[in-house]
Amino acid sequence: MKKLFLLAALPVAATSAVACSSGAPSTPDAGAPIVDLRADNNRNGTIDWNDPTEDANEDSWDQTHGAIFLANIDDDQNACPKTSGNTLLSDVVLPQCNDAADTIINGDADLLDLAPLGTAPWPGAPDGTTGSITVDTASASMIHLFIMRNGAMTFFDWQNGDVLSTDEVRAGATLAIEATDIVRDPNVWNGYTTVTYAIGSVSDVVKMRVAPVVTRHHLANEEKIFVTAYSDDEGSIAMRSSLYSDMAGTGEGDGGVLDPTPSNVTEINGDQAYGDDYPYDDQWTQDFFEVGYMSMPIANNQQHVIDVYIRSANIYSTSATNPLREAGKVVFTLFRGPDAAGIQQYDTSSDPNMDSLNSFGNLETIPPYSLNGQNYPLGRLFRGSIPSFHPDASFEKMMEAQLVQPPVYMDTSWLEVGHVDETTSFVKTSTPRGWTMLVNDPTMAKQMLQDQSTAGNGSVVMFAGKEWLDDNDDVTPADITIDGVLADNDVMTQSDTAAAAIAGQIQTIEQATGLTDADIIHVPFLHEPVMGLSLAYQPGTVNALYYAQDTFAAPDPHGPIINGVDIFKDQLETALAAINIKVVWVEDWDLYHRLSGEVHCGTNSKRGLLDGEQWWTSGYD
Amino acid sequence: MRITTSLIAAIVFVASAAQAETFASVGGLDTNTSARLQTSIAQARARDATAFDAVRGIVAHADALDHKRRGRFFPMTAVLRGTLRGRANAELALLEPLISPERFTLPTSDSARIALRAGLIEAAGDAKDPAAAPVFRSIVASGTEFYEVRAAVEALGKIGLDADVAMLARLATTSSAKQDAVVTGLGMCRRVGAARALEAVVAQKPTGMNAVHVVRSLGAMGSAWGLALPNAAPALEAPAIRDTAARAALAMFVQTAEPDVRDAAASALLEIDAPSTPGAIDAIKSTAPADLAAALDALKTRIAHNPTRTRS
Repeated sequence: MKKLFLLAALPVAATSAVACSSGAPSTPDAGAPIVDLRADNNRNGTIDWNDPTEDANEDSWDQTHGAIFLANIDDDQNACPKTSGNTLLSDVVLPQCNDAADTIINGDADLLDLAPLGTAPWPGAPDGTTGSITVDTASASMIHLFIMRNGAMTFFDWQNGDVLSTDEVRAGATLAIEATDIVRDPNVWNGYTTVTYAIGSVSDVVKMRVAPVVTRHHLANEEKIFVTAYSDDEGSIAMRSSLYSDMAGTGEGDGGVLDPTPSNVTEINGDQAYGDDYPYDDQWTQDFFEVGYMSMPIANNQQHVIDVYIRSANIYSTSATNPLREAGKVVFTLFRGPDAAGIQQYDTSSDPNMDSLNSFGNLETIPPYSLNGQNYPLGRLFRGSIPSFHPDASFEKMMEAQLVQPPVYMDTSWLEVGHVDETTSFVKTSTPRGWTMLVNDPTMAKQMLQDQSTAGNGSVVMFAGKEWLDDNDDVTPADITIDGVLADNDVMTQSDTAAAAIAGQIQTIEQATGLTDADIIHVPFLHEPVMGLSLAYQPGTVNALYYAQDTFAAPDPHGPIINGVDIFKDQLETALAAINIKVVWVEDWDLYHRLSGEVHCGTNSKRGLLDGEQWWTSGYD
Repeated sequence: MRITTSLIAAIVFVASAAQAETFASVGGLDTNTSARLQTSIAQARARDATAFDAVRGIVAHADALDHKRRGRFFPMTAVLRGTLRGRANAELALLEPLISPERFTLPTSDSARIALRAGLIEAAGDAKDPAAAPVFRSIVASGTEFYEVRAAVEALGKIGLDADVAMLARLATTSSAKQDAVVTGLGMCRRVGAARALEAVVAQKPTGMNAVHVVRSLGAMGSAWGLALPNAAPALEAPAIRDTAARAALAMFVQTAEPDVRDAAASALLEIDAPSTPGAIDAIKSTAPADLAAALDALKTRIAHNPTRTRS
């Protein structure tokens, strides 16, 4: 099933020998061992035997130099099984398969996921000379080395005595390295490895770092959008209809007719059955996976990227073999493939009362910025988490261990769902910072309604034409007047709570980012209490899909229509027009809003990299 | 089981004895009260069964709805409130599954059961009907599930009968397995006795989420938005409720060493927005150590620019 590869596929150029670890080229001397191990220390994608930057300080790693390798956990030949009989494989079995799970090269594409290493030739090596290539103890279990032998790259089993032969020492060896996993717990492995080439008592050491998993942010262009689709669900059709027609520029869908699925949209089939099981029946597409990436430099100032589909750590079952939220299996069953990895990390002993925080509506990325001399070129992870109410600790540890996006945590414990996307979003601007934050403002919503009431419009209804759930074939209208909302003590009290709590969130973000009140765009909607916690009462218009740099797809607020204008639509359209962003409206009431979520919750996205984005220059070593 | 919203009506669940055990009738309800409520329910249904049918449908689909939840629980309260708003006999319809669960097709999952029971209690409590108080009292007395007890406390608190306020105040200030649930539910009990009880809880120096729950209840109780509405509290008690809530939240802000608790206390103070708070801060600051004084200064600045204020 798996084949060997040709020498030409490995970008190693051994043109002349170099003296051991001195950094200075010299003429081979048959009398002195040439022990020179090289990796892509200067990060130009090749191994350069005549470039001193390839050798200089190769035993250390920082933002200016140091070789990089990848966790080769994609599935380049799409060989990983997904099902057994008529069921999806278990949470235990699915992640066990990837290209690093074996010790062979899984095709030419797989070779590209390996980082090159090479030893300089020592033509004068005496008969019987052997060279060892070893890896430090701390990383040994995470590393696979390969060596070119007989025209094919084969596993170099140094832990079982494999060494470079005399001929290999004399000719120089072509090697490659992969990690078998990403960093998950820095106490187990911190992501660095030192590879040592030794002949007798002479040795050369190269330090390398495995690529971290980097999450994407809203300044990066959207490449792909995901949405779970139900073929016969009116709410699903309404949402997709309006979203797709917005994307096609044909206007707002009427909820009844679907435009063709846009080419950059991937629909997850919520109706797909495996026997009696419907694993993808989960409309909260934002929540069960996140798309990050890992990358290493390749030639021509490019980088080789493996997308990383991260499964949420939601524990939904006490099953020993299938404890996780089932839809999250998509990271293995639908998305893992060539240059696309799937990962999961969870602890079944996590507090179930906090499980909602593990959903990825509660994992966003603040775009890049600098503050007080500290740069965050890849942005920062952004989650709801406080010491007494937090996501899965093992997952948080894994994300923090990537190092390059230091997290910002804020308090979402007062929210019924508890996600950062319920109250905040980020959009691009033409300011020096390049972005700003949108934030929910219940006070503004109350003020807008009060103003309309004062103006004599208190009897105008909100949520016109919308319905609550009922199974009696009776229409249960959601209509309520402005004055009715303003008189609802539950809604007013909870909105007051939300306004104060959001002020605390803003303070956290401002302190972390340097944003000021003047920068922030306020997005009005009220809250209501559910089980003592806070939930968007009106469609939460900050919870939107920012699917193009100039377009913000927000849930239709179904606000009061005054003089032919929905005052909540008008407010947001005006506010975002000031920063050249168009708002398009998505119908999400039935399947999303009244079930505790909105457009962002029901969609997901995969974004590209910014021009010049190189995680290894981020300064987080 | 897979349900999409348009298919909900087509789904039928079969209740089992085991299900009935997990969704027990309200314990401790005296025979006379139970009989009176059963009679009221029967008479109301005979007049107009719409609300009862609506509740029956939602109860029957609680598992399916729970399957669609995004957050900790399905927002059953919101759905019940929305669906029952304006319907005749809504309160009795909401109480029926709690009193006579054997008549219903009941949810099987724990999360659906918890959301449904709490949702029924919360939505029924909206009516603030003293006639329903015995049901809520029984739940407070015999309930063991946090959200259910919390909802019943909230419902009783909204009704606000003197004896109930006194009983809830005792429970809130007495260490027990349900103390936290009572404290959490007491925020909508806008009576001075309840405010003083929460102040007494603050004096017990709770920590962690228990402390957060106290200050959140103080914030809700003293909410400037809530108290501004007609009939939110007895008119003569409203100023004292607000001042007591603010004083207690400030005390928590001062006494805690936990940043999360202090943040929650600050939020409560913004929510309450009591005119007395800036002066109280000054008084404490005059003898406070430097780090606390700095925190109080920052708090005072936040209150001066309180983002919860609207133009009148």
